[in-house]
Amino acid sequence: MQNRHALCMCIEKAMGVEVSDRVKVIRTIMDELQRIDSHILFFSCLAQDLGATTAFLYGFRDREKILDIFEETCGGRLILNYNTIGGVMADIHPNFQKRVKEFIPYMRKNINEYFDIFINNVIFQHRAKGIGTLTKEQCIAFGCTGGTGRAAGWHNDVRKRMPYAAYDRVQFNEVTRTEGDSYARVLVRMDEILESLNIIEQLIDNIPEGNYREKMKPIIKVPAGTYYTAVEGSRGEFGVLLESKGDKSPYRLHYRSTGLPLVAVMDTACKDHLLADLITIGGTVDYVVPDIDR
Amino acid sequence: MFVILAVVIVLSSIATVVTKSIVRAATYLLFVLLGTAGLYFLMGYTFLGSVQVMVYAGGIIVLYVFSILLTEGGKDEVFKRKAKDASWAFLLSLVGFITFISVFLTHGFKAAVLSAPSETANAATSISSIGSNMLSTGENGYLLPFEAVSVLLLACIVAGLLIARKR
Amino acid sequence: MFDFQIVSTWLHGVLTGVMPEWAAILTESVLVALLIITLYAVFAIVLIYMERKICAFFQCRLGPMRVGKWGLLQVFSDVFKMLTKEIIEMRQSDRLLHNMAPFLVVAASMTTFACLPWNMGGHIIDFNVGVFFFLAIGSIGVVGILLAGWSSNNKYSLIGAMRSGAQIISYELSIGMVMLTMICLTGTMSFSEICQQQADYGWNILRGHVPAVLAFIIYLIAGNAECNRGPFDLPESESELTAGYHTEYSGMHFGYYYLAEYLNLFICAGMATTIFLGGWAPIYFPGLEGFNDVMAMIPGCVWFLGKTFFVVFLLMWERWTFPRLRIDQILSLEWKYLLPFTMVLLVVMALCVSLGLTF
Repeated sequence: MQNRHALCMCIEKAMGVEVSDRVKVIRTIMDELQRIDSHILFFSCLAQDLGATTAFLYGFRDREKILDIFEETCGGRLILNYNTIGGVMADIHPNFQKRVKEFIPYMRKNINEYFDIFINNVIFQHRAKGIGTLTKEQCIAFGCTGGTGRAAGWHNDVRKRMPYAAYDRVQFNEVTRTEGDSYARVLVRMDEILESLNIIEQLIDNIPEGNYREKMKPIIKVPAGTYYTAVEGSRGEFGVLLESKGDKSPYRLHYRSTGLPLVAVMDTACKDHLLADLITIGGTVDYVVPDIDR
Repeated sequence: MFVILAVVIVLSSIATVVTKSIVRAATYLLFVLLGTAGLYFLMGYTFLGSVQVMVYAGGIIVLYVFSILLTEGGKDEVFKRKAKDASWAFLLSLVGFITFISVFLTHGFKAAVLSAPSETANAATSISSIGSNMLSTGENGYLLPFEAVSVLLLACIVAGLLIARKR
Repeated sequence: MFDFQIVSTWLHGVLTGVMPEWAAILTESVLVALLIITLYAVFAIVLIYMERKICAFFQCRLGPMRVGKWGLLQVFSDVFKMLTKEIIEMRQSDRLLHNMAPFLVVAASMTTFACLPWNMGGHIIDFNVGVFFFLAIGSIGVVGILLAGWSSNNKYSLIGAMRSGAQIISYELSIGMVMLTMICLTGTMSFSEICQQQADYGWNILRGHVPAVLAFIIYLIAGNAECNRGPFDLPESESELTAGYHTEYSGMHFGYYYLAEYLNLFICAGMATTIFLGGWAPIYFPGLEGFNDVMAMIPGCVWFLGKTFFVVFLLMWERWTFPRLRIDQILSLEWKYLLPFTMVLLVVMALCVSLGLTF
């Protein structure tokens, strides 16, 4: 969802197409829902890798709610074919606002459960505090965007630096910490879930009326030039570079993936730690292996 | 029952010495020690049998296996024995065997054992008598401080290792 | 209280009427051996099903539901699958040790299983030094694990086996100390007398008040570590070592390890029941005679099994809630915290008993 958003934004910027406010707000809400979904997945997989299978299933139980909301509007759960050039594929389902408004207090309550059962547990704290510390300079040098960089004190949130969609009209905090260890990385993402819930809450009642999709020609021709846009993906800055020579197909389309710098920093982060810490560090740095090699 | 245990002990002992792999030797040694514990149980002396299992089988064999695993001894090559060394070894073991058999046959075993020691409260080797011997201060006593000295010895060994190891 | 000796003396009388003494004893031994093996298998099946259902309920899901009503036949189908799996032979491992290691573990496990007191008069192994014997046999299982890891010819199995071995021999110390603490209270090491005392005077955990409750908590922690379960299951954690020392085992050999793990859990819980919660002794409140008589009508093995399954539930609860500890944290927990604490607890209990502060 967020990745398609980046691609569509890049092409729209290149062609000079201005999407309606409704589309911007819907795209923002969907992005934030996917961010919450991804952070819950982060939490659950970290819990399972460290042996707390119950916490894993609690996270997945809540993730199902988001996936059901997605399925109703977008037709899919994980592979979402929703953003398109000029807007979104279909208007939001009539139940969408109601379900999202029910989800927000439910999730706020359940995050406390995650803290109780896993994050505040003394065993987890001993396994995560002080493990895999990355300094701000190291994060900047490797290019570790996303929660990993913010946990080290690098203010790299694309939503604040180069606002897009509806992010310039909502109030939210950029969550950063200074310690840079695994525990900070986990706390950053948990706080980001709460921030995302705030953003959705501000937008969900005020979705402006308008077109949900601009009329586009059947064959898209992007004017010649080089264009780059980035979105704040759940795991980092996801950028799209489009180089076009005016033809029907692009001359070059390259994705700046979020995962490659995170995998590259693993060696540095794991120095002088034990074999069992590899799991904690790998889980909190939050890379997705298929995302590395684009 | 005794025959079964005796056969197991003898066969395992021979296998311990003959086998080429050091980990297998440790395993056969485990069987020898378990067989010995079985002999103690057969005599009715369960306390000593349990001590045998706990200290020897559970402690010393585990120690052997750990040290073998930590020093990669399992992959050592077996070197060929020279005939001259083998004949000296044979001579010495023959002498030892003859000494052992002669002592064995001349000692009067039958008179010493008439009834198996049982472990009821009024036998000489019950737990409470061991306990009171450990703590008593009389002629056969002071056993507990004696055992505590071994813990002190262990602490000294560990300290020595810690000081002497290379960084 | 239903005394099992009625049944055993009757059986002995019937057999000696028909055959000479030695044949009667031989027949009884064979019967007892068959009984142990059957009980072992039955309890394993019950425990595996129980674990799957309990873990499912903790995790807000239902567990096996499709194979048989409420998934009751699930374990049978799992066992059947395991029996028919191919036993993979590896090329460069030590075949003899590789095949022998599961048997060592299972033999140690079965011997400790036979020590549990099932009923008044229903003991299979009842030495004068029962508790000590139990601790001794528990040490043999470690050798099986180490041999399994070494003979698998696999770096990660070896790491897993060494870690597991180190963990088990460390926590054996804590368990020994905790049991010694309770033996201070009871004054005897034989299981039948321990249970008889608790039937007469009340459960040990109530008699020993504060030191006994602390000892029980430490036993729950150390027992979990002994069985390689719960927050201490690093040697067999899947995400880190792909099943540790039993990676290279498949089919029935793996089945033996699986069996031994669950039965070790049961035996650990059974031991906790015997020395803390009274074994087969019913609840006894001095003064409420009518209540005590009603409780005494329920046979001892029902009490024993009920209490043991309760402790198994506690241990499973512990397993499914906490994340895993790292190996250095496991060992430092034992040597730096638990062992000094248990030593102090032993001294405190000895003081309490000698000053007469227990019930």
